[in-house]
Amino acid sequence: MTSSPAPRPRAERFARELAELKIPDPATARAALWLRLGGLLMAVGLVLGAVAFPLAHGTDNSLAQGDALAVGLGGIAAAVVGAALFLRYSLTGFLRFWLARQSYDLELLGERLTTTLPTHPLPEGDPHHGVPRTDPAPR
Amino acid sequence: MGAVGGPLLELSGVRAAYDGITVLHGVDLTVDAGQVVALLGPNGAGKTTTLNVASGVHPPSGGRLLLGGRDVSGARAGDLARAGVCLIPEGRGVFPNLSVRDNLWMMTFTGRAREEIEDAAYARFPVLGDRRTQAAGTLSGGEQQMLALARGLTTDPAVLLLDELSMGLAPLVVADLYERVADIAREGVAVLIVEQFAAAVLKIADHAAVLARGRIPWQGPPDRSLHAELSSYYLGSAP
Repeated sequence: MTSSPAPRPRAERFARELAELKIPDPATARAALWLRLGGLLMAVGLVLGAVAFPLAHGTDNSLAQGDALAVGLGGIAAAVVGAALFLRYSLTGFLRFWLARQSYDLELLGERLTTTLPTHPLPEGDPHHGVPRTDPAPR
Repeated sequence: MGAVGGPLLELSGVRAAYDGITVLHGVDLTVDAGQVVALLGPNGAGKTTTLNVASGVHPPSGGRLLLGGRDVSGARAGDLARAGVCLIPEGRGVFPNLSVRDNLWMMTFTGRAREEIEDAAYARFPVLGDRRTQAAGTLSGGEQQMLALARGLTTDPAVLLLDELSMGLAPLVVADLYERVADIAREGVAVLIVEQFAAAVLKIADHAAVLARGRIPWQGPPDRSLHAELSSYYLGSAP
């Protein structure tokens, strides 16, 4: 058993660092909501843009055309913002998955390599760790 | 500022779930600085989930996680690791195709120099010094576990969480490893060890808790009454 009294300085530093830690509010971590909002904005923006064109074309009234142009521009702006949100949150998820996949593949490769590696210590300074060189053949 | 005089790690009524299925139903556990606490229980009891909650890897669905007296439920695992929480997961997590030295050098992200990291690791585990150029995957299981511990210790942890340290190792190797863990605890580190095989860890534990079906039905000093409790939970005779 570990009966000797424990030194406290590390514990004190630990508590101090934790006291300064900023903990994010879980309510703000709503990536899925932002992703859906981005998709929705993109779709609504495109629809508004498409609707505004026949609206502006179907009238000679310059005031009505101005309104239609405003709707169209608003739609385009919404689509741009929505696309940015959608890309931001979908790319995060994709990259996270991709990194996990890369790490898994590397581990598999490592296991395969270690089954063929020698079990004796490698010489000092060997940059290849015993793995045969695979330099390109001379032309 | 947290209550420094209190426990370094405290789980209070912690609940955790995967996809709506609750696996921890209100776990209460404390670990003081310099103390070794063994969390024992059969397969599927929720031991690894408890460690994952304690390290911030898995968010609790209820209850509180307190570190150094501060409620850190919902904090990111990376932030907790930077503050001094170190989780050594089951399966060691070393890079098998890199040498021992390269594995240690991976920890230079902590801001410590390569030489400093190597010197500290070899001083604590001399066998790693003898094998510094050997690929980690060719080390024995015990040596790989030492390498995982050495890497974890470069983060200067205040709380060390160990998951199934004895997995796949011979009893003598396990006993040696646990002696080293006891040394680490004597330096003031709060150590929480999850184990399925109780015999070795109870030799160094100051406190033990039995986890069964996501609850802690018994906890106390590791004495004879614990062995009776463990038998009933492992063999399924407990209610």
